[in-house]
Amino acid sequence: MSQEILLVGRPNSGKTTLFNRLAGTNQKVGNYAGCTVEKKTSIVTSPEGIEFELTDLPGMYSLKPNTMDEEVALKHLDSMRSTAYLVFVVDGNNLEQELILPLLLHHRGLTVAIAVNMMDEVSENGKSINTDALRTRTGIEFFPLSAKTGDGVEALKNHILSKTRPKNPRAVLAPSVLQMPEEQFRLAHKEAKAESKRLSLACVTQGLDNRLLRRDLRIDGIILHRLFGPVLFFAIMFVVFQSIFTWASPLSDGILFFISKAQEVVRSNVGAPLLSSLLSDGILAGVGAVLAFVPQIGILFLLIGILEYSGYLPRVAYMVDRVMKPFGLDGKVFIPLLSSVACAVPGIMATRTIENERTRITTIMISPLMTCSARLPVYTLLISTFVPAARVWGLSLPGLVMFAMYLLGTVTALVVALILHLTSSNKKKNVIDMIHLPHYRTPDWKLLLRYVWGRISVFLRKAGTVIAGMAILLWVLLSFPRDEAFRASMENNLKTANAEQKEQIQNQIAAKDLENSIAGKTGKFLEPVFRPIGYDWKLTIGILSSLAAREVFVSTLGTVFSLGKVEGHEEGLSATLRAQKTEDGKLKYTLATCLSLLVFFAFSLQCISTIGVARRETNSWKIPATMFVYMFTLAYTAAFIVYQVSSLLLK
Amino acid sequence: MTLLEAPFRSQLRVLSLTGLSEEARMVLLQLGVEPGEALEKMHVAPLGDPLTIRIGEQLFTLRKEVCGLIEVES
Repeated sequence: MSQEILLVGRPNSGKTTLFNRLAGTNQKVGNYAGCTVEKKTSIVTSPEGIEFELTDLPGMYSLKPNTMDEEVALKHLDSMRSTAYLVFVVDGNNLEQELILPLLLHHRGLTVAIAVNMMDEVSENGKSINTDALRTRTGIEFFPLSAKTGDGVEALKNHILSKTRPKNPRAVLAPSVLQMPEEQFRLAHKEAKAESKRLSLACVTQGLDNRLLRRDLRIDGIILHRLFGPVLFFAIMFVVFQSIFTWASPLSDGILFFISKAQEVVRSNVGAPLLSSLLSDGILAGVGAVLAFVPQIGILFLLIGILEYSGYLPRVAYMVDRVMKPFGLDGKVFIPLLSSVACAVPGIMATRTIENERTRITTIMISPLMTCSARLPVYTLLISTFVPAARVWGLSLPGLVMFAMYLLGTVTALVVALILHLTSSNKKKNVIDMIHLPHYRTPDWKLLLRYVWGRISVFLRKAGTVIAGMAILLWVLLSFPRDEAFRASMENNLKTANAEQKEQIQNQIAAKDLENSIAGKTGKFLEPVFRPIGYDWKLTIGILSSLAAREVFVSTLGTVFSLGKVEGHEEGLSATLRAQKTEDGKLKYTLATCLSLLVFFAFSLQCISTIGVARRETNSWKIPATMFVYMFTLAYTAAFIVYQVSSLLLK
Repeated sequence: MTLLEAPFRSQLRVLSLTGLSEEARMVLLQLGVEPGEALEKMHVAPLGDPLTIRIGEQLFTLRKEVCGLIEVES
């Protein structure tokens, strides 16, 4: 078994940047058992060919856990193998505080090496740290370095990979430190603190002016200013929102264009119709469904990366904390929720920046309630078809309904968060809600791009496979079995038909195929379930197929009503929907049906991509299954009330 | 006085953390907030909560309800 090397340190100590430097591209990202905390490991090989397993432990401030991340890191330390080696990463700017924890462990007999990070800032600040003196006084190996610039990283790497470095004399940490009684821990902490103070007095030459802190405070004076702060905040959030809502779509369209070209090539070159359909409509469409998210994820994480590295992201959390507090959330929830207004997939991925496990799960649970862009085609079709183009107080009624839908999503998300907050046991809540405000820094482009690529590749490998798999499965359910006899007779008609008739016949075939498919039959079978909320079997098939993505509802209705492709000219579909009659001659779909559908789409989790990404981010099916059930229940109940009440009122 | 009432931008010394739970005191202890230690109240968020506190050379934010339980002297 390969030897373990553990990187330990406070959040914001630059631990992950150092990990990236040491690991290079050879990284594995997973989760710690039973929680959403991300586990990063890498196999590093020494010049002699010995393999070491390098692990980036979650950040921790202390041996008394405040967050889930700390709990996980401590559990890992508790159960580590005797051959494991600890490398503490400390921020050289704040050595006196940061040395306490490694010294405490060292006093307990645990051998550690200490990487004194951010040496570039230390010297910029006019300070110097005498690491040789630190080494002689403590017997611990000290490595001055800067993970950002890469200076000094090589020396640390040579040390941890060398055969001569010391091994841990103690097999396990527990119960010597972790289960130490309160009083004993206080004493141990006091002792370590006193030594840390002595060491920094002796080995750190203070700068004259604390340049970095004073610069931070000057910038804070502007960026967190009572008036200018919120203005800048809204401007930056507008850019973040626009980027995923608008700027990513040409790139997604480009990807989908290539997919559609590939589909055409397959269709015209693969002879067997079934195989051709499987390749183009099943597999290629499934792959396209995954790739279409890449621009959104890439752009969002590029922006989050810039905000995080520059030090602005924690300050965003600081500014909006007050708004989120009444709902049991904190300021870090803001960006994931804002991103979810464009799409819940990058939104849920952005919950990575939330350290508190409970808050992170709550945010994942509520983010699909935010009105995402995939709902817009559905809302637009329904509102333009059924809501009269009247004016209320000088405002257009359809516009007001659309606005109400956005409001409905946001308010419901916050109410659900509040309910989760009030009903949950406080066990996993942070003891203290605090945010560390790091130094302002200029982002490093290389590190930034590596971060963005890391997020994209995790999405493709971990979530993408699930999403593509589900998309292909859904395609099978929507396409099979086929009524071959009907197809054969229709294809006979095709031969004698003119162009216009041809299109009609093809549309009829598509409608019949859909009706006969497993999903079509399921839709008919489920009709009694959806009748109380106003849907017949055609709308039910639309609901089932929109699981692939909400906007598919529109094109499925086009197919089911034998209209062929309706994207881009929905007026025909609108007219068809309005003209549908029941057997006794009454209008089949009314404003009540429309309102019921609007509410249903606002609340239900009609999106396998969200389900796939929630599975990946929480490392189990439990959370996505819970989400699907609670959102469906909410959607059905609300649609039932809306349909029944509005049917009565609108009579 | 409590940290909440204390003036901004002046050196303060922690007197006691008696209103806080044992766990909360342990967390603050490891941030460097304990009786006898120095800190400074820097500024307040635009909506009035939380507050930024300087401990050594690091800036942390703490919510008002916690600051109200930290006794300090100038």
